[in-house]
Amino acid sequence: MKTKQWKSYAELAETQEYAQWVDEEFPNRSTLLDLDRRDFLKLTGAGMALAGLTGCRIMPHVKSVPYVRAPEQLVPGQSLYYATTLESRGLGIGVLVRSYEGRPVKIEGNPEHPSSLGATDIWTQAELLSLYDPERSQSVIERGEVRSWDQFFATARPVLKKEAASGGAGIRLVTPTVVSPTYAAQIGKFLSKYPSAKWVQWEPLSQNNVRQGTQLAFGKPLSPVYHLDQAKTVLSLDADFLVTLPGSVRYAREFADGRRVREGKTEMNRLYTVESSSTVTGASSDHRAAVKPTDVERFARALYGKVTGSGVGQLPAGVDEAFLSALADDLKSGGVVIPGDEQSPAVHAIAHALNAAIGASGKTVTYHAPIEAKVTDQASDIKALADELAAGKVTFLLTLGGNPVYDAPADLKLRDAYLSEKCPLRAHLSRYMDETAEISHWTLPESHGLEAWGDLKAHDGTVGLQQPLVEPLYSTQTAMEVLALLLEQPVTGMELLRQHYATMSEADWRKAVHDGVVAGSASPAITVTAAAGLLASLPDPPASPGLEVNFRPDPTIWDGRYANNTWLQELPKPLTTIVWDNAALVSPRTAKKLGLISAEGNNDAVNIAQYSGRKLIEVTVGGATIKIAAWIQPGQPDDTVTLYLGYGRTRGGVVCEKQGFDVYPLRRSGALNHVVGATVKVTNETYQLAYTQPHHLMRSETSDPFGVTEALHVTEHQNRDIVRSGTLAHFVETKGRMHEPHHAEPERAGEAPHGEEHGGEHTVSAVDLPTIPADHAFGLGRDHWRYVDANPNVKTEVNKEGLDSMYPEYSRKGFNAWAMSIDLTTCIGCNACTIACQAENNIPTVGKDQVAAGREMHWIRIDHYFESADLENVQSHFMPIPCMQCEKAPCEPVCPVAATVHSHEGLNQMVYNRCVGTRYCSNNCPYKVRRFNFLKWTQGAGGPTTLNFFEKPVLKMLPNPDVTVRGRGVMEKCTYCVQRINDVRIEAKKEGREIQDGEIITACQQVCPTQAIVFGDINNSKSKVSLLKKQPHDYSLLAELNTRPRTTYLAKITNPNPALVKPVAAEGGH
Amino acid sequence: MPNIFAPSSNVIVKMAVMGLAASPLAIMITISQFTRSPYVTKVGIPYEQPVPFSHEHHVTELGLDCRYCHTSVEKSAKAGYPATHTCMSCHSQVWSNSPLLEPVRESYEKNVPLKWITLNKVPEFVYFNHSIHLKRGVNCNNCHGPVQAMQMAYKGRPFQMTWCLDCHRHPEKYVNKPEFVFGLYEKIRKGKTGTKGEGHETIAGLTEEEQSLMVGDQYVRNAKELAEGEKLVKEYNIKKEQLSDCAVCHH
Repeated sequence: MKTKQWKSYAELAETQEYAQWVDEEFPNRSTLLDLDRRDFLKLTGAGMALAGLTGCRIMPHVKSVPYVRAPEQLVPGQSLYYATTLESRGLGIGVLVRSYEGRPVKIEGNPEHPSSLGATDIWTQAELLSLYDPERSQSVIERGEVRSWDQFFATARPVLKKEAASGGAGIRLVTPTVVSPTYAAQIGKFLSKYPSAKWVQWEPLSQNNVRQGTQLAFGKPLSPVYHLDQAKTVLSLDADFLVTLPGSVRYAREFADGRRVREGKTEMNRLYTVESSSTVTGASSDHRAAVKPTDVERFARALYGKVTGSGVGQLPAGVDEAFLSALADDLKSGGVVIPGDEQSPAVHAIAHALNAAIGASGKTVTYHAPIEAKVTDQASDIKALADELAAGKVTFLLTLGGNPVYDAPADLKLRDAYLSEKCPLRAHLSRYMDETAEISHWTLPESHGLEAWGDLKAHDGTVGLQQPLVEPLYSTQTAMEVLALLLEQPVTGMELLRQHYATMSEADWRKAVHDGVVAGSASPAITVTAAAGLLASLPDPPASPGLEVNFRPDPTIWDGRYANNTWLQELPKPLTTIVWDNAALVSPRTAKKLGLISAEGNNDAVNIAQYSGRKLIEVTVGGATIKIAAWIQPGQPDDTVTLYLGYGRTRGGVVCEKQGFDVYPLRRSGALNHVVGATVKVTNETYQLAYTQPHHLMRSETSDPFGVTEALHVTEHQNRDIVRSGTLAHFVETKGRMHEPHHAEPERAGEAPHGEEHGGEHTVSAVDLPTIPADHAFGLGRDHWRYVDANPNVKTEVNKEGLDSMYPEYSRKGFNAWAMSIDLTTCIGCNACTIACQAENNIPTVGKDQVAAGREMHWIRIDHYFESADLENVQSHFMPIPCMQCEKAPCEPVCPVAATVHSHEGLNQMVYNRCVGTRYCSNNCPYKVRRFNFLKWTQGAGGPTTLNFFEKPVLKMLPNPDVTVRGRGVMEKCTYCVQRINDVRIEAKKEGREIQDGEIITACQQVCPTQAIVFGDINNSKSKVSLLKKQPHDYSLLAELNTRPRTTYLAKITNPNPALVKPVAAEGGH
Repeated sequence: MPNIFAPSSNVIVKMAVMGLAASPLAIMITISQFTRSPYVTKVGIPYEQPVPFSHEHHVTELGLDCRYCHTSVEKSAKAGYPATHTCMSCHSQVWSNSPLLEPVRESYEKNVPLKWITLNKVPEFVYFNHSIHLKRGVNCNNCHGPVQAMQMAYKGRPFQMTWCLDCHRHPEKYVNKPEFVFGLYEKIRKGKTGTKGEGHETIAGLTEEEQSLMVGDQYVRNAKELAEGEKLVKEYNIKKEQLSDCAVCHH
């Protein structure tokens, strides 16, 4: 029996809210029926007047402004790409930035950079908006007054001079973790001039545990690098290595490379996850166990005992003996264990010991010198700083980046130490006027990575060079430049960088700048030997009978540093799909235990649907209490509350202020990652989280008052076959035809259409018709429809019930036929495609309230389905949904003004200038991929949370010049990046050749870390996309509707250990 | 009691009723003519530019190639405006003291760009690419009017969609050999006999089509020329049906 796929509790519970979402595509609209006669007439009159007038416009004069001296290489109207390195959560990732007439307009991955391999993550994509953020710090400010840099240095230099006598004993330099060699050298210079000064590194999420773990295991801080392409089995110990671990973009690629199941393949890698939260890595795993944070160590110990045969001990709840032994066996035959950054040093040490025991050391994991310039215990350093500030020992506090006042451990009371005014000069260099800036004397504006020279190390130590794409938009400096100026070295960022690499020849230097990478700069692997008797030396993990809280980086805004980025704020967080907010995650069972939901009644789903995201709870840890919205997440470990950092900002820009809940007050030194003994109190206060999970449902109406579905004999609508999944064993057994009826093959073979050409406007020669057995372009499910040719002149398609197709025939002959294939096995649900599409296609943001009304604008969304028999043991499926570009598109016949029509290359074109906004197309789209501009999103209709491309001068530079910025009342949707298609087509035509396979890369395909998306021409039988569509597990979404989508999916294949598959679920398929 | 309305009122009422009935038509005609008038389309209206640059002088009299200033026209979507530096490459030597060129010198010295009024502009939802049109032998004058004869530049064609579609639906009416594009100006220069006019003189050695293009008239190809055009369309592998797909120009 097939288990049910569902998206939200509301859906399971069939609540009224859910019914409304299904019935009305956009619920909570006002209706004309509510208007009284006068208002109706007013609106009608106004509508008619405006409809007549808005069309009349005489184009205003536009000025053309050429260069005075044109830069070399610049061709007006053509983009240039530059390699540079951007910071993604503190580490370098190589990027190629598209510069259009001098302004950066799109960030893409640099294939030559080891952390990128051509892809990027959501944070790197969003850096573009950060550059143009109108809220950026723009000038030097002293206590609210605008000053100049010279004035700052005139104040700071005398203080430094005075301090020089004592060797700078009163100087404190606070930075985030420094991974830039040149910047580190600069700091070194500063410290050698002021030897008694102290340099404090602080970041709320650091590699502290990783370094301390290797310290325990090998006696020195090291940086582990995993090589997942060589691992047959991967165990994640609370490590979200697919999205958040340093090097995650590369790891995702390597992991996916081991999972590309194609016809004839019988092997794929296997992922076990033991985690204390809900992450996309857990969602992508073949076996997942959810345990309490402190139980991860217990599990690691037990596994170590199992692998080495030294005795298992007590197993934590949620893991059984069978799981352990299956895992141990798998690991021994070529596996790797990855401990998570948030787990304790002990877990890391055990993981390294495990890796040594299974022979992974040196093969699937290598150890390198740490990437940080200086490894420190950040928690104790920041504590010392807070103490010294409070004691008045600091005379000059310079925070270069970071936001310690907001994110330092709460018990240090750094804010109070600042406000005690015992430190007479506090300066803060920052991109935003944040919490630290608020109570610093001087606020210095920091340059963005796209405006600066610099260098950053990647996860494996490779040095990536940073070159500016634009002159700084404001009078900003980098931290490196500020230090140089304080040292009274009048040199620019570029000179500093070149001096640091002075040993490089000019040719090597130019090549490194051109490539964005210093060749051969990766740290060499170090051979290590684990300390003997490691486990015995580690203290037992603390007993934890009650609730535990774990703190996690927010899946979109990280530790709060990306909080002012509207793209990231509006990006649905993987798994929860919450936007613009954070929440406390609890499991359904714990929710019941805590009394959040009623334990009575037999329908938990109803209870949860009414509670989740709508009520506030009080979480108390060690005397500190915060209020936060509760979110009941299936798959969350019991007795564990996950809190996401980064929200509840009080300063830092209009976008981030007053969004979500600040959880830092609960985070104390000594318990930065998880804490035991928390209490949760239910309050009666309500709150409304906005989340997209119930939006864009591909379901039929729940109510069927006219008996339509019955009349059409349609029975499959309630639980349509949306995500197809199965096990590798089943795939091998059925030769990939997992989802076909057993008798399908002979039937398909007999369906080749034949016959004469027939007349009529929409008919084509039968020879042109796709022959069903040979034509895999539309995936499985074509057996729902077949051609009947009783009369050879009239060829019609009928479905199983014998009903004719209402769509005209469509021929692909003679043109490129663009199509896409998305592999559900390798899609990890990281959302990078959504944000890359947003950047490429000028997609507006709409703000929390409008998302709650179902009006988000993303052209490609990641649907997330739970599949489960109960509410606890859920399996996750991710499914990216762009426009399907149906050959027989239901949206087209219903448009009264022909604003959406088909192109000869098979694109379902959306013509903005024709659209009058009836929304019939969207109503008729079974995939719900169309988006409507209800308001002037691009003109700031939603206030500061929408991007005002027209009135904010700096945001005018953001849009892609090749894509129209849409106005109010216009429908829009995925175009398959038609601007890129056109570009390549024109170039190919100019050169008099055909378009090559792989020449056109859509934005979503380009950014995908796992290369799950492939785009190309299906009329080219050798193209990558054609080959993928010939795969036996390729299928069309809702194929029974006969829309013939050009976007098809490869069914999701999982690889559970046969020893762990329960007999009922063993079939996998159905 | 006298009648309130005189008998003549009947006529007035009838006329008024008929007038009312006819008014939508009148309004429609007015609007359609208005939108096509130079008042809206700006066709043929020269604007005061920072420098009174004469295409006629530079192209026809001096023989400068279009690409000397519009450098990217063959490579890119945009033809490109010349940088001040381009102007100064001659005008630092020639007419170096002319008061008319003061803005150019000032721009060069102060490093402040010249700001030209854009004459030929498609709406923001239209993406036009110069390079591919040149590659298909579409001459500048086809869209820009008799540029080589313009004393002051003006917009030569209204740039309305129906006009674009005329070619995009029937490319055989306009495509030509690539060398035709800039070759025309060469021919005009060589064929010139000395009398200076507004581009209306007959130049020796020009075909009828070239003659029309030279003066900015729309030329209608005859059957033989159309067949030549068809041949070129085939040779260029132009897929006619696709050429009028919306997304070719709108994205």
